[in-house]
Amino acid sequence: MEYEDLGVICVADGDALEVIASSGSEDEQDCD
Amino acid sequence: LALLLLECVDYSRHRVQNAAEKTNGKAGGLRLIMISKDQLSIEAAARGKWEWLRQIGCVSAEIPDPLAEGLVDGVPYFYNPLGHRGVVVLRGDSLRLMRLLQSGMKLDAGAEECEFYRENATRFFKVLYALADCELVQLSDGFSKLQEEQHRLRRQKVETFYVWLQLTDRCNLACGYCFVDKRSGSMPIDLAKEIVKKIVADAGDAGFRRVVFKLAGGEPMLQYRSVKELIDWCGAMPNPKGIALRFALLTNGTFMPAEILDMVVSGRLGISLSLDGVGKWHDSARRYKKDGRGSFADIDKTISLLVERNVKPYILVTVGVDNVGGLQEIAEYCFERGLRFRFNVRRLDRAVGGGTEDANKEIASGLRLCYEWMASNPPRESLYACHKFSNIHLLQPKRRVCGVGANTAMVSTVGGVSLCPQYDPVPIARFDSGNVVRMVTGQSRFEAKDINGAGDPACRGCVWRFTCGGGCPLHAFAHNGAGSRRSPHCNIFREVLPCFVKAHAKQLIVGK
Repeated sequence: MEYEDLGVICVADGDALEVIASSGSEDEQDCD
Repeated sequence: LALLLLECVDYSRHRVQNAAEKTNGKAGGLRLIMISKDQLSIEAAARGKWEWLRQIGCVSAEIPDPLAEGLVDGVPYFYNPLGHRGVVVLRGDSLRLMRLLQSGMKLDAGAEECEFYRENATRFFKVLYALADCELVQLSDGFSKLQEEQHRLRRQKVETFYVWLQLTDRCNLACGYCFVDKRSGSMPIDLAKEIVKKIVADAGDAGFRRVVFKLAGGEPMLQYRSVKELIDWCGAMPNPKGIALRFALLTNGTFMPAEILDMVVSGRLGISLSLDGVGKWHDSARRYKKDGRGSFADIDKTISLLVERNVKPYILVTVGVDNVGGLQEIAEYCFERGLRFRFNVRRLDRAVGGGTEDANKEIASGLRLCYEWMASNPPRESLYACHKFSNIHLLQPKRRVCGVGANTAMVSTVGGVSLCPQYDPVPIARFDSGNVVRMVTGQSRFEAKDINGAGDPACRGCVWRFTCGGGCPLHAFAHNGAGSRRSPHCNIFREVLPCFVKAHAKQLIVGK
């Protein structure tokens, strides 16, 4: 993580983009 | 590749002027060069621009509102519901600066008055930039505009239209909470081909570049020969605009014919599978119609079959009062097998004792316990990637929950096009009457402004309103007569979301 040496821990930006990109696929089925 | 020069010249004018004066006219705002339209390039170009902050010398730095905050193992974490970095844990200098800003420290007149700045100006600006990049601090107008541009590009995914294709209304299970009217029949294969061909053409004319067909029911595997024939046929279907097609199977997983398994393994067909728990937790609601037997054992076999062939089906867990006690077990089941999964709270649950305030309390309590367990037992994979609560993943603000009335349609077994299979199955048109994709996108019944609880005062001040997105607007519509009213599951969201966020924070801390 690019800011870890500054004390900031969060999801890596590339991983975040991957999650966002996969949203809306078949796993987005939102009905009972 | 397009060469694009983006000049952010419209930063707050007086700040640019100040900056220019401080740096002998060399700093005139931030200039970014994008070497391609790739959405990542602008972000890469923006990285490491903390030097710009130092050149500017003075910025306004505000704490965003709303901002959720908590402690896990004594370590503070933050979550900006309007941000795009999810949960952020702060320690050391970053926490020090965050607290200074939270206490009201202003940088408008310059950072020189801050002790941290005087100790180490370079580090001060690096930390300030990191906080801003993680959207825990809002800098000057210009920086916010830059971030908005980044996020607009992030959202600029391939334009996709989603079609719920009701291949059959028949099912071999008799789940108490199912919303499908089982009295009707199945979609003839020739009709299915006509529908796919027409919708792909309509979607292309309406500006979409990709169409995803969700092959659903009832149980679509009761029509598995149609599934195979349809996908094979689509490979040779005329597609003059080159619209990308994808097929996803929504199945109960009670059986998996060899030819469908091969399609799934080859990647021609995605698969989502309904599993409400392990053993009795699943069987309590999902029983065979013919003899009342529970279906877990058969679904477990199907999952094993898929996993052996290196296919990881997406697991859809529908949560109600009868299975909420088993959520930890199903989470463990999925973690062990590397399966991605989501929890959806049932909406039409009255038939099995749900939907009441007491039931919602019980569901919220069970979900909360499960997320507490997840916090102590994080998966190997990132929790962001492998699990969602409702369709929430915390990495984007949710202004609307799903594509109803925007980029989603349902087509019935007889070719009627409607907005939602569950709440609004009454057709707005037949598939062959004009451009049905434009009819869906141009409808006015569910406008975006009606979504996200915008019409309910209780939502306006809620820290979670951009996380839950207002819940299912049609669920709210069914209960309150307006999609803009707060969700009937509002109390569940309010109780569970803090635990959901905390589970993500814990995973960051333990480094898994």
